Amino acid sequence: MLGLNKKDTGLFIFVICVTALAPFIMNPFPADSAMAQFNAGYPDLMQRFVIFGIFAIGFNILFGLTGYLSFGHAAFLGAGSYAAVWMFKLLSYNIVPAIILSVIVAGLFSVIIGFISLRRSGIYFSILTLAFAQMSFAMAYSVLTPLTNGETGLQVYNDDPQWLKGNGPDATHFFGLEMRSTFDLDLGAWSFSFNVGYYFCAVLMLVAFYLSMRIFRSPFGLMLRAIKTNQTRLNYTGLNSRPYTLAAFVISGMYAGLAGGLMASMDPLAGAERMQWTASGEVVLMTILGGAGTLLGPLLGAGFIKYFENIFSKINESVLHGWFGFLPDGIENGLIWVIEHFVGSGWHLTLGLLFMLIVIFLPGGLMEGATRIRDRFSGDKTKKDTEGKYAPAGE
Amino acid sequence: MGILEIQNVNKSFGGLKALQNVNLNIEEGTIHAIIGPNGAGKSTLLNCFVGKLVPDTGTVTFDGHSLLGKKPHEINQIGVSRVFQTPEIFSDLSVFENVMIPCFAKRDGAFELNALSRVQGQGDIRDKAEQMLIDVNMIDKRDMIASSMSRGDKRRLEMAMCLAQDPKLLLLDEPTAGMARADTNNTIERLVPTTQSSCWPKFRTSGISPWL
Repeated sequence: MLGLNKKDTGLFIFVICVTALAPFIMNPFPADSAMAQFNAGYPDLMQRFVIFGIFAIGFNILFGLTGYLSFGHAAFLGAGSYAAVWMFKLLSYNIVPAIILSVIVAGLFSVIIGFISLRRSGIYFSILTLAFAQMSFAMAYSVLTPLTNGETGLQVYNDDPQWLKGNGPDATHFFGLEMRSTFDLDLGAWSFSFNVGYYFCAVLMLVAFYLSMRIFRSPFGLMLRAIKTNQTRLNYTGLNSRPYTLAAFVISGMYAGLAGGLMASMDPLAGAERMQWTASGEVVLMTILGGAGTLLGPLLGAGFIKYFENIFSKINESVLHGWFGFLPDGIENGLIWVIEHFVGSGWHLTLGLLFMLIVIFLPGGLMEGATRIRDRFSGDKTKKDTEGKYAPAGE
Repeated sequence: MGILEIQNVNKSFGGLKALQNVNLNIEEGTIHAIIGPNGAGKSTLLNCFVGKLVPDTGTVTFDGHSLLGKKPHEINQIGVSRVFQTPEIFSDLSVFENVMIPCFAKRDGAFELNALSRVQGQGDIRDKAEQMLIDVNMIDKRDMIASSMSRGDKRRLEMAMCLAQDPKLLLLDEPTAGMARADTNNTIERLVPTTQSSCWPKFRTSGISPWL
């Protein structure tokens, strides 16, 4: 179907079902129960899952296939956000032109950065991209203030022209369909929200995922993997590796721009902190955590990190007291003293520990874990080496 | 007039003169061996043919093109393929993918943004790669990951990758070093028909290989 083989079609249908049913899947606990803390089915977080999913899918096309580790992809995310907000300021709150422009701007920006950075490989490439991203970050705060509105961040004001607005809505919309509108469904104790913004992002994420699957299985994808394993041989085989890496870089930059544009479309704000190196590092973590070079891995990684960021950071001391209230006071306070360092504002500690464990025991990321579990149950040991990373395109 | 002409090539590394006034004229469809002890400059000479090194002075002309200052992929595209001293293959890819890549390079040139077509849909490339693997007797290993093969098999694979491009000039750097006697004979038998036999009619390969 759609130019995919049977296995990929199955995977794609699985991803479509999960994204479509996400409002149910993410809200497994009744709204009033103590476990409601762990529900992730609210619109804001679900939007972030798919937006960062797009970001990570794009990053994986560069890092997972060619092995070029860019530490500056947040620059494209930020550029996309700024471009989108400018479209809101100048035209209207319709997100279509905003998203188109953000992809174009990020694409052009990545052509420039990629052209220069790709002259080097390995650690030098990483440092160059990091330098460019930090430069963009610093410029957004200083010389580019007229474009970025500096520390305040770029936002839409009442006196902005919005030439095409007419009688359109006062919030971001897709031809009249407001992104923030949410339909709440109450089923007994459970409550599920279906948000227009989430479904819009989810559709684009599915398109992005589909394209990345096609790229993985194309001759272009084969060349990118060849670059990762032996670039010298590729050059002596008559292929010019430079345009291949540049194309991969630009494609992943455009994915980042799309993610940035969507972020601004959900909340019409853009700040320079989106370009900071921590944001670039986050997408690297997502990709590695999920499994670089796998199709589903980046999506899993993005979901995993965003879930922990939002759910673990919400747990504070009083919540913990509520959980452990049945224990004797001394033990309760001791236990809470230990745990509170790992939750709330200390959730990075938990993330760090999880990341360490995964990298040490599952170097292929969460996807390797999934493959190992599947192999154990099916008793098929022979496939372990080849299937975990990518099915050979030859078959 | 030969297909490969080398005139007055000099190359020195610091004070060491690796190549001194090398002149060589190679006719189409012939096999040559470059022989010398370790450090004689055999590999240096080959490196000058493929763009890895640029000679200090002199000219290297292949089929009417000067090879000086050309990038490795440009030299390959005009018909020079090289098998390296230590096997250079795509070790993380399957054997079949390894052979498909040179087929793509031959068909599509140095760069082609084939991002949305499918590798599986490329019938001509797959047939050719399959035929190549049958020719070097490796078809049973087509789905193996290249790095898991023996050194001799990696050599054979690299040779198959070079032959898949129908090169006009095939450079082999110590193709049988470290091979058993029988494998050496097999390799030679496999290479000879590339220049003479009718089973590969398109071939106009000249082989050059340094043997100790």
